[in-house]
Amino acid sequence: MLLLIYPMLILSVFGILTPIISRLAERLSLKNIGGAWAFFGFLIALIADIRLINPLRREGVLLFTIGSSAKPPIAGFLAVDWLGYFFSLLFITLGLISSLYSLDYMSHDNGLEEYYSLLLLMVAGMVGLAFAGDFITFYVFWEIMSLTSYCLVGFRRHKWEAIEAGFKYLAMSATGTTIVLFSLSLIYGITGTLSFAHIAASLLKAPPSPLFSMIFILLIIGFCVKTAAVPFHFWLPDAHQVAPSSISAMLSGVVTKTGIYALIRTLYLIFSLSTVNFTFLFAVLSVLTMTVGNVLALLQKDVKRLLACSTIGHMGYILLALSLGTVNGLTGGILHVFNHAIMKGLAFLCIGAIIYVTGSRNIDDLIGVGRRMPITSITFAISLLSLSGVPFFNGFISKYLIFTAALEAKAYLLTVIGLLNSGLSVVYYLRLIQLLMLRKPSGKIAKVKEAPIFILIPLIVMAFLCILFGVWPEPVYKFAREAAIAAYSKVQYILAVTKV
Amino acid sequence: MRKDEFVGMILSLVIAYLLASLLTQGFAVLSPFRYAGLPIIIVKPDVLFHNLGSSISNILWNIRGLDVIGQALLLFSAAIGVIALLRRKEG
Amino acid sequence: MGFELYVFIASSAVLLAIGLYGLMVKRNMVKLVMSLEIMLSAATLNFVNFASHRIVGMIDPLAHVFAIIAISVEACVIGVALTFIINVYRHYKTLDIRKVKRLRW
Repeated sequence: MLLLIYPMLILSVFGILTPIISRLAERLSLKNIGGAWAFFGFLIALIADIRLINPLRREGVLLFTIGSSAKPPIAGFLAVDWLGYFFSLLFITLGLISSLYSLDYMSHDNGLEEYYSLLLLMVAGMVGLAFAGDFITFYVFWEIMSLTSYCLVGFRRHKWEAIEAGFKYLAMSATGTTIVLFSLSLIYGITGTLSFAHIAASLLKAPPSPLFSMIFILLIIGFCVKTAAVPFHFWLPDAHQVAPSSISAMLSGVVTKTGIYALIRTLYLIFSLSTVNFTFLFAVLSVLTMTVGNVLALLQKDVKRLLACSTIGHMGYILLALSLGTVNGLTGGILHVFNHAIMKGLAFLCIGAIIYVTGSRNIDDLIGVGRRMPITSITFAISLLSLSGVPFFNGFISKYLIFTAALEAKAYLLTVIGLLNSGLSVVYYLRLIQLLMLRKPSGKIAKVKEAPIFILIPLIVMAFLCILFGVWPEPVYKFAREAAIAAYSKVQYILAVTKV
Repeated sequence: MRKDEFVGMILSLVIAYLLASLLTQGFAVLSPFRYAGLPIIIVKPDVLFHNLGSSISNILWNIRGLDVIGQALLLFSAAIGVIALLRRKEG
Repeated sequence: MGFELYVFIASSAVLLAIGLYGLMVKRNMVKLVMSLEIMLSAATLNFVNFASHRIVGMIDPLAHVFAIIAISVEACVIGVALTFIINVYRHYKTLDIRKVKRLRW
């Protein structure tokens, strides 16, 4: 199935050729060719990704191996089911919007050839890890994504804060990845192979054992560093504060969601609920994450830091959905992954537009900017309202699904804590809307103009998507349900891979 | 020794003891490779391990080609990242 | 299965704990990066250990391939980490991690 390799191939070829094309275009004195090249790369990769829907509907799982002499347990291969496909569509879409936004937003920076190349390679790594069928392939693409995101966080290297936050992010994330590698070696010691389907087939009816719990905890520690669950969340506010806003949108929107994808694979494919009972551990983790995220967000003065701390809170909701162990909970969690990526990406892009025009990040300097920038402020209000869970926007749908699934699974205390946290988050979202929109602008804000055109187009598109998926959630809900059923029932995945 | 060095040493001694004992006990109870099938490629080591190198190279380049391509992409992205972090101009 | 298997498993756990000690306590940033490398070598030792104890007397080369891939991946991470250290020195004029804490809350 050669179609599987096209999205990653297109993104990596475009990423490798970007510096060459940009330098050539500078010689011929054409501006902004790097951005246009990256945008077309994302567009062609999205089309190549959409072409996978029909083969995926015919067979359940698509496979790709290099060469015909090697068979799956020993060869590296790509295995795509609905879950990986859902995540890969989300990654490429957000990369497309972010690259369109960067055409105008990064016009004050230099070194743009490396920026677009790193962005393309980051999304190539993410699509690769969503498609991987083997733990080592997964690990290599995870490292591609991590390395490019370290360099993109520290991109504005002439300010001290970018370097400090970038180093802190690197130290914590590399520690987590090394702990994941240690637990991979232990999995090899138990099962003798490192492909997802063969480990799942070996451990299908295994009785619980302390060694499984130890391997499970080490894997969870490694992946929770990337998801910014609570004892490991310290890198997230700093990294979001200093990164360029398009990279903040990517970081909060999709890079944290790769940790969620890895957690779903670990919990539901490799260790099922009968081998390791993860319900209590994940319930405690999600309560801690939600509470600390929302309480931290109440105390911030910097808008980007506030949005980053609220990302930690939303990760708590997704971890709550994962801890239930039912298909409905998984559906709510996956749908919240999609909705949160769009809402939070839109929020970061809007605040980036405001920072681009006014030049300040502090809340007190931005009071009343909404009167001068109408389109930006309306889209910002839409994103903040859907983040709070107001009906008719898409945040309400996924939060409703998560809480009803929690009630079905008889987790009453978790539902109450989740609803309280959701109410707590409304406080700071509404305070932001009130400060930015409903007051009169003060001295230096009174002279700002609206943002340029390439910044406005992604904002309008994403706000339209927020309202569309709030009023008509049918297609995305069905897609998320297919992905959840594919993740929950592992027998089909195992049979499709081991029969080759 | 400073106070935090002392605390760190105690903590890491505790972690070392816990990890080592839990892992060896776990692998003693559940014998290693218990859930494994037969290995597909296995090599009998020669004098000074000479035939091991050719077998590993065969697996790495012919069978695990996808990971090697991914590795090359990682090297390229690390190089571009270092160029981006060490560029000259202001701004 | 042989006594050496358990000795090597225990020693890789001890190496992991040594790496964690270095990450927690050491002040110099270059020593932090070295501790990351020690943690990596714990995982690599575990892979090679399981390669030789799968069937007694013979060697399974697949785990050696995983160890080679892990080593070359971590080399790239060290490259980027050292670049960050160069930039930190240019801004802060020191390599002490306790002085690199200006971002609060």
